[in-house]
Amino acid sequence: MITKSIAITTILCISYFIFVSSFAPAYWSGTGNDLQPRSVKVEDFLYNTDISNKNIIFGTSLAERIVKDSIPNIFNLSLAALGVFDGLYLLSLKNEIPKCIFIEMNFIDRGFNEDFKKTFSNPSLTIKKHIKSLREDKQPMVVLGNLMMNKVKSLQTPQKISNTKPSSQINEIDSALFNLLVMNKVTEFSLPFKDSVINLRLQTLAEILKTYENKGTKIVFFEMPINHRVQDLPYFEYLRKAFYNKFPKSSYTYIDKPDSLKFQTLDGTHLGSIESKWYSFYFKKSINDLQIN
Amino acid sequence: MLFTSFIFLILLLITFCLYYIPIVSRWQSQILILSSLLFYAYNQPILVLLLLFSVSINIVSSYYIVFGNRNFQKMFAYGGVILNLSILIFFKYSPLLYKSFFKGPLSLDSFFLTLPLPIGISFFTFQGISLIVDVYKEKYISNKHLVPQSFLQHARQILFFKGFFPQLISGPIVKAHDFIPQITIKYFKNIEWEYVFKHLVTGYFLKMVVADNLKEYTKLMDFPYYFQASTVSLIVMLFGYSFQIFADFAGYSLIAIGFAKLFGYHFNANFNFPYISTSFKEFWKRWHISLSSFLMEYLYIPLGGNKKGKIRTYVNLFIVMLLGGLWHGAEWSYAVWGAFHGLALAIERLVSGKGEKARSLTYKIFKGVTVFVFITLAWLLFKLSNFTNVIGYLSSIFNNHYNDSNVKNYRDIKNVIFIVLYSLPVIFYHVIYLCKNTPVFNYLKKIEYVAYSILLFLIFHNSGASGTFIYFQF
Repeated sequence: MITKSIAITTILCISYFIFVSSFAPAYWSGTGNDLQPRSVKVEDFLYNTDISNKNIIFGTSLAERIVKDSIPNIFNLSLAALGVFDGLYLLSLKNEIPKCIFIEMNFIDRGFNEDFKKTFSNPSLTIKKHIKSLREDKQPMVVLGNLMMNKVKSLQTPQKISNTKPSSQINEIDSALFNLLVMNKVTEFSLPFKDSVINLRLQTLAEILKTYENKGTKIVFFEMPINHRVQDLPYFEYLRKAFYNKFPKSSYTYIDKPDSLKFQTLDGTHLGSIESKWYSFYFKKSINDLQIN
Repeated sequence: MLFTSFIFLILLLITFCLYYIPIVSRWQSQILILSSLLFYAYNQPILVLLLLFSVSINIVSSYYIVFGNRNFQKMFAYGGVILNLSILIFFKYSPLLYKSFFKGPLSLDSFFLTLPLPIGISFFTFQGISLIVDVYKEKYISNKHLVPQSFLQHARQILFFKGFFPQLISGPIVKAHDFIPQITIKYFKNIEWEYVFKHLVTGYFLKMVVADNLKEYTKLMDFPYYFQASTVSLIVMLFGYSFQIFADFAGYSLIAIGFAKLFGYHFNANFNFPYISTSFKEFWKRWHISLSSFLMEYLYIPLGGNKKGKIRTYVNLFIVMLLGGLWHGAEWSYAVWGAFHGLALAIERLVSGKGEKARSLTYKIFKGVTVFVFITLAWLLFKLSNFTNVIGYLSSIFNNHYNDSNVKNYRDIKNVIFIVLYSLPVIFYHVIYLCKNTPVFNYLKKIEYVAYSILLFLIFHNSGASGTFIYFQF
C-alpha cells in the first residue's frame, strides 16, 4: 500500500510539474489569502527578477501600498507584517547590486523576523527555484478557488450606481470604528518606547547599507504619510531625529512626507486606495526630481 | 521545535537511525530522552530546567510512595500532586490571577506579566499527576510494573515517560499505566509501517493543508476585521474556525501517534470523528479523548462521579468542565467556555429522553446539527479571548447583513469560497467514517492508496504558511 501510494504521488508530482512548466494557461496562477501576495512577491523577487540596475523599495505594509505600476524600473519589496530588515535579508540572498535602495522610515524598530528567515534558509529555497510547481502561486486549491470566484463574479449582476446616501448606520459604524482605531494608534505611539532598540536598528541598518553604498548603490529614505493625529506623536518625532542623526540630510537623500495634505488613512497608519494613488504619484514625482530613473 | 520544520526532520532521522542499531539497543530510552530534550530545548533552552525539575518531583514522590516509609506514603502522594499543580499555577495562572485580583507596584506587574509560559506545561503536569495517583492508588496496574526497585532505572523511566518527544508539548496526555509497561527494547522488524504511514500522512495533511490554510482566512475574525465583514462571511468564518481547530489538533495528535509508533510505542486515539456526535456527552468521548478520560479518571470519579445523587452529579460535571476549560488557557474566557460545556452536559443529562423519538434518524440528525452548532459557537471563546470582542463579533453577525448585497465586497466572497474549500476535507473525513458500514466504503478501502497519494501530493503542493499548533499555548 505504501509503495503504491508513493509511486502514484511521484507520478502526480511529475505530471503537475510538466503541466505547470509547459502547458498551464495564464489563469493557473493566483493568490488566496491576504498573505499570499506577499509570498508570491518574495518568490518573484528571488526567482524571476534581475535586480541589477533596478530601484527597490524596502518597507512594511505602509509602503506596500505604493502603486509600483505607475513607477518604472522599480520593485516594491515592502512586506506586510514584516519590515525593512526582512527585505534586506532577501536582497542578501540575491548576490546582485541594485541601482537605488529606498528605505521606509516609519517602523524601523522591527528587526529581522527569525521565522521568516528560516523559511528561506531551508532547502525549500533551492527546491522552489528549480521546481516551479511548488511555488505559492501554483497551489492547485488556490487556482480552483479563484476559478470558483470568477464564476461567482460572472453570475453577479452589476449594481446600479445610486444617488441615495448610504444608510446612517453604516456611517456610524465606520466612523466609530475609525475613531477607535486611530485612538488605539494614538495610545500605542504615546507610550514610552525603547530608544535603545531604535538606535540599535539604525546601527544595523547603517552597516548593511554601507556595503551597498560601497558598491555604488544610492540610498534614499522616505516616510510614509500616516494620520495627522498620529504622525507627530513622540515615537515618530524621535524616529525622525534618530534618522537625521545617523544618516545626516547633508549626506543622504530624503523624500519628505508631503505636508500639504492631511492624510486620514484607513486605521491611523495605512493609506486607503485613493490616498495610495495620490502618494504614489507624489513618490514618482520625487524620484523624477531626484533624477533617479 | 515544530513537527513541520526541517530541523525536526533531521533530528528524527538521526534519532531513528541510532535507535534501531542493534548494538545500542540497550540505550534506546536514553537515545529518545536525549533527542526529546533537544526537541524541547530548541526554542527556549532554559525551560528544560523546569521540565527536569517537574520530572524530579515525580521521580522522588512516586519512588517514595512505593519504597518509602508507609506512614509517609500519603504525604508523598499529596505533596507530589500539590507541587505539580503549584508549578502549573505559578507559570500558567499567576499572571491571570495577579491582573484579576491584585494591583501591585510596577516591578511586580512586570514580573508577573512577563513570566514565560513553558510550552507543554499543562500536558506534562497532568502526566506527572497521573503517575503519582496511579502509584498511590494502584487502581489500574500493580506498582511492580510502574516503579522498579532501582532508583536510577525508575528515574530514567519517568524522564522518558514525561519527556518522550511526540507527546511532550501538545499531548496526547499519556497516562503512566498505559505507557510505562511498554518500555522495553524495540526492534526494526516490528515497526507497523502502514499504521505509521497512514497516521503521518493524514496528520500532516490536516495540519499543513487544512489548518494552516484555514488560519489565514479565520484570522479575519479578530478585532477590528469583524466589523467590516458581512453576516454570511462571519458565520462561515466561525464554522471554518471549528474545522480549523479540529484539523490543527487532530492533525497534531495523529502525527504524535504516528511517530510514537515509529519508535514502537502505542498511544490511544485522541480524536474519534467528534463532529458526528449527537450529544455533548458523546462529543467529549470523541474530542481530545486523552484529556476527557484524564478528567474522568482523576477528577470526576474522585469527586464522587454520579454515585452521590443527581444534584451532586450535575455539580461534579460543571466543576470538571469549568476546570477543564481553565486548563486550556489562562483567560477567563476559557473558564466560561468550560462552564458552557459543563452546563450543556448537565442540562443534557437532565432532559435526555430514552423514548422512541430518541432512536429515530431524523431526531439524531437534528441533535447532531444542534450539538455541532453549539460547539462551534463556543469556539468563539477560544478564538477571541476578550469578551468585548466576542460580543462585538456576535452583534456584527446581526448588524452586518447590509454588507451581503454589496457587490464590491469581493474579499468577503473570496473568504467564504476558500473557507468552504479548505473545510471540505474535514467534512469528507467525517462523512467517510459515517459510511463505514456501507458497500461504498468497502470499495473505497480497496483503493485507499489513491486517497493517500492525493493527500501527499497536496501536502507538497498546497501547504499553508507554517504556524504553531493552536494547542501549543495550552
